[in-house]
Amino acid sequence: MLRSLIVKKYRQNKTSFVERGLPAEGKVLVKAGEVVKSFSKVGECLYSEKSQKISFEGELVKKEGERVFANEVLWVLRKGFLKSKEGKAPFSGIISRVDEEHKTFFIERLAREYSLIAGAPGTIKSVIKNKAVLIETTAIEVFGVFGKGEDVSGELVVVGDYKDSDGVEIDKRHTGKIVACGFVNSYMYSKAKLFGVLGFVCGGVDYGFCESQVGVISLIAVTGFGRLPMDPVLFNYFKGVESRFIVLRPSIPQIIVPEEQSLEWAKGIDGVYTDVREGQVVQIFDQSRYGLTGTIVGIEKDEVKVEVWEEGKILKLSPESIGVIANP
Amino acid sequence: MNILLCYVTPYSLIAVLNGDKTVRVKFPYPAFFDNYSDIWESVYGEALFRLGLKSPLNTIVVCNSQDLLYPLIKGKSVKVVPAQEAFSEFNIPMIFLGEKRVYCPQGCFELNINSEAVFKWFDFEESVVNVTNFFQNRFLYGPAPAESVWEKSFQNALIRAKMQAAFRLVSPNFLETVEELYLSGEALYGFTNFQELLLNFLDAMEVLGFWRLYFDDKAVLGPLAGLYPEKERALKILNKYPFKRVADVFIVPGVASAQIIFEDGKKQTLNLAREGINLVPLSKEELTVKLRLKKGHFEKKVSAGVFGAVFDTRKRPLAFSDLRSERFTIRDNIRKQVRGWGSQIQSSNNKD
Repeated sequence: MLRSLIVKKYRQNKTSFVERGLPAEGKVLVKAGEVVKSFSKVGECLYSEKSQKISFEGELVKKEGERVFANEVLWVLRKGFLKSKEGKAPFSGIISRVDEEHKTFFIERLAREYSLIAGAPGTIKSVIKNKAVLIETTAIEVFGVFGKGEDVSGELVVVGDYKDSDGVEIDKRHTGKIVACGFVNSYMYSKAKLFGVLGFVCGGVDYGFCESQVGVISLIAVTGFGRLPMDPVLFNYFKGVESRFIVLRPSIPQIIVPEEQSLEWAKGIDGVYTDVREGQVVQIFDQSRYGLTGTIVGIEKDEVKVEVWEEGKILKLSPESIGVIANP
Repeated sequence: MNILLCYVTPYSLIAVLNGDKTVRVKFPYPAFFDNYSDIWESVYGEALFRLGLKSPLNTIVVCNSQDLLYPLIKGKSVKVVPAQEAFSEFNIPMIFLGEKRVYCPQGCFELNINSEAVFKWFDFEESVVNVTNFFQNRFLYGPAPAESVWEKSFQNALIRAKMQAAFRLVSPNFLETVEELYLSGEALYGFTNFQELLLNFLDAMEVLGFWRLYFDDKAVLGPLAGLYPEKERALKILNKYPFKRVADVFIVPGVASAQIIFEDGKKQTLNLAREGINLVPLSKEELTVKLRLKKGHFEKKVSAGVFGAVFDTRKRPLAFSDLRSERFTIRDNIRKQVRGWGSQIQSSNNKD
């Protein structure tokens, strides 16, 4: 009997914790022990987004503390009696911190009302007064192999297919969201920075790129380094729960997807090793098909025959070159 | 008395049962290590299962005290010996090439290999990005057996990079004073390409001298090191795993010729004037090799191994071109030469 390792990537956890915080001090609207749904409002505050530093020439026509509106003229440069140049407000806000010496000032956006939703159904486990709540929820926990960046949470959006992201364009539709895809390339990542994407969940990413450039936007790779696919089972699940609130914890690295239903593929297999059997779903660690998924279709003396899902081809592999994800 | 000797590598456990059976059990994937419970019990149980044993045995486990598993094994029902202590006390003239370290009787040294060092010796026209990615994935999932040509080339390049780093770390005094040298270690486990092994050894060795080079392809020296207080017993078990005698190696730059004396007293002179690697295929006879050095004579008995007697007259330290194409041309020429040797040896053995 051939034996193989079990890959422990997924876990359905009935006591998973999700922290939801207000961006500024405000008011928490729920109490410990209260049951909430995904879209329950759990807090509110007045919140102003980051201010923007603006350089000017000539004279400011607005004073510090004054209210301005988008496209309103803020400064004018004159040549004699003629106006040669002017600058307009990029958005509505309040003028602050005018520095005549360095010819700069800030515009602070107006504070607006911010509502915090629970994001995950569950029970409020604890409350940090005026700041945050901790929700105990049932969730699918996906363990990645690499993570970088800060913990983030937000709406899930899926792009491309599970293998690659060729032709994928990141734009304002992805602002403030977590993007799931097969492979993250530098073009996507640069565009994501521009449009304020919160995070990435991908199958693979180049190691050198991770080392040198990843950090501003959180990223978790679930398969490995290189042009590697995401497990199609996971990718299809993400597609099925698109727009759901999820949490990325790159330091573990772990992805938490609140999920009330019991999912067969996420249950995993107990133990560390298992007998190799026909019908098992496996991950392949053979270089040419690294990270691909397949099904065991036969067992020979020292080798396992695996049908690769993506290609339909049958490979003969050593049991050490596969890891069992799920039993038939 | 039944005894199970185990050696814990960073990625697997190598177990030897009474010197009759060996088994290697891969550890849980490093990337998901925290998701597995009772790791040591599972790994140990798996080793017993694969050896056909139902209950625990008198077991000695050699494990580096810096490794993740060490605290998980310590205090269990097995005797645990720190690898640093086991190897130094075992005191066999060996170079034990591990995944992260090299052991020799002088101690244990960390191997700091990066993907560029591997890429330098990778055979194919491949981007450094792909080699780096594969190199890093090994840390996530542990090494898998090299099956494709690509993987075999990667494995060979990795071994070459490790061997060069290792031989720089090992004390030249040790290498100068031993005549038999055992190459072992989990990084070489199951490596069957003796030509590449010999070339890697010759390219890594910067000390001049003579060595009978042996190879422990099952890496049993690791588990056996745990028996260091009973060295006789360890050596008895060792006899059940006859090591491959790879070659009798002379690294003698600047030596113009060698005199070979056959068993029947006949003599032959081997011209070594051209700098390079020369081989004398041997069948079963034992020969005497005489070399004239600047400081007197040098005489050694040599006998059959995989490659017979090898004379490397290249100047040390070896200089490898920074140009990939030049480096590969030189190496491929040597490879062709070695392949030629292989066929000579084959025909010589067939005649016997």
